[in-house]
Amino acid sequence: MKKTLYPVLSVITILAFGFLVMYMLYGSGETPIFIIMAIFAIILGAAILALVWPRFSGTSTVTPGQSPFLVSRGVYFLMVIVLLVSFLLEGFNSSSPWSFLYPSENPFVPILSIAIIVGLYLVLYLRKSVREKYSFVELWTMKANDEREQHIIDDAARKTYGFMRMLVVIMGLGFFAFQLLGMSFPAFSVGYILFLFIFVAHAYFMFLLRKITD
Amino acid sequence: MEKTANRLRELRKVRGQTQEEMAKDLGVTRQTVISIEKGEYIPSTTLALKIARLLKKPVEDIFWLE
Repeated sequence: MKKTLYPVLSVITILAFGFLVMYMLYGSGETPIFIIMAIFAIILGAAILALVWPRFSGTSTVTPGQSPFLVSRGVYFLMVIVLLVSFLLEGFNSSSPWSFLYPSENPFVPILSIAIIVGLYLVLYLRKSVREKYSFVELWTMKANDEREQHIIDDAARKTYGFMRMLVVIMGLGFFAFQLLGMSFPAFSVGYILFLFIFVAHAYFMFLLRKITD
Repeated sequence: MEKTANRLRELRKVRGQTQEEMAKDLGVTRQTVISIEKGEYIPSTTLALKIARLLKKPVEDIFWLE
């Protein structure tokens, strides 16, 4: 059953993510940027598909010694780059099409939320057991030292990906429901929540890695 | 449900090896040897065969179902 389920869910995830990206851009009202970013979303979707398909279709060829990180690293990297750059560089500029990413009522809300999430992330990263084993860079590119580590990392990557997939699908359906009901989305924007849960997902991933030195 | 048990710790001590030394011989981390000895991690067939070769014992003398 998994052989069928994983690709289907992966496609749903990719479509949901593409939908969210386009929703974010459509909300900006900047048509040329919308077109460019829609193309970007399709490329991004194709890239994610290429990364997840072999693993979640049950045809993974990953063996001990290879990085089991394909899914998480690829997905995180692309999403983090897109969202970090847009969020941090342009978000506070009110004339920017990305300014809608910020809850306008209270600037302390995003700042405080980011501080909490980054703090959580750092606390988990700075766990002695994980830090002694891998550097920050290695956490994104590491290769398992043996089959047991591979098993742990692989399991953590799958669980984290499942967690992200669940969140994206729920968010996609939620926003769709909001649209159907003719309601505008409240203070927390799509991009803002996406940005937050990427950090939560990575923190969760690193929390699962604690087993490496248990 | 059947559980895989082993006497890796006992056989390692007979050889007078530390976990670190055995890990090095097997090409795995010390934590992996610890996990196998505790029964927390079931090694792959390849690793089980490497262990058997290192200890010069048949696999079923080291691992068994209980």
